Amino acid sequence: MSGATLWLVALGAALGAVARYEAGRWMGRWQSGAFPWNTWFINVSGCVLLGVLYVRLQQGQLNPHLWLLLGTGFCGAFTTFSTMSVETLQLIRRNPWAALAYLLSSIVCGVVLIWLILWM
Amino acid sequence: MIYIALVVGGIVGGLLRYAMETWLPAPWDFPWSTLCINLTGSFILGLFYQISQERLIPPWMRIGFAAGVIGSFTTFSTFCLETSDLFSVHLGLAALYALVSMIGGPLLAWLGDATPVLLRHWSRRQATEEPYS
Repeated sequence: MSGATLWLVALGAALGAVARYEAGRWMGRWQSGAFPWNTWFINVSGCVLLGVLYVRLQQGQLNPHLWLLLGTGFCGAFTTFSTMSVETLQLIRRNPWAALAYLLSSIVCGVVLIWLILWM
Repeated sequence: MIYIALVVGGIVGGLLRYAMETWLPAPWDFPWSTLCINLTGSFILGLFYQISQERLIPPWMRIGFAAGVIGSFTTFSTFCLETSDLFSVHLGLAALYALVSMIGGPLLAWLGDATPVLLRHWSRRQATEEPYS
């Protein structure tokens, strides 16, 4: 952890947080019903981006500094686990099956898409 | 004001996550640090939502803390990448990691949500029990 790496993570995280807020609000306008599609799409698309970056990093095609900026910083901050947990809790109180579907589909889609990107 | 709070919060959350992932030990190749980050973040966000329903918190502070700090501190993409990575090394550990995260996250959010009520209940009992002791 040196000065430069901290700046890269900080810049990526700031961009990721603003992008998540804006994307969430933008998608929220078309959202009807209780299912949090905005967080779902943010999390799954962030996984795809992180998977692509990770493959390039492992193949030596991505500068480790860019990984800190885009992977650790941007993707890490763009996607969120805590909001998913709280939204699941809110959904459980209204419709437990929707809550289970939300949680399972987020995780299965995220993991399977990354797995496909890593091994294809 | 909201964007300043969001940027500052996002930086604080992101750097905290980076620091914990760098410094927390990770024995048995298990992603302990991300698990700790995601579970504590879920607890804090559940607690914060409950508090913000009970008292008026200015929007910039609410967005800066919830969407900025905690949103950027916890991460879904790293969790999925680590699960995928573990999958090819140790299927059981990958399943355990995914299960503990997906059950623990909402459970801790619920615990955070219930904490103010539990604390009030407890302090009221203390207050009523005191005269008799």
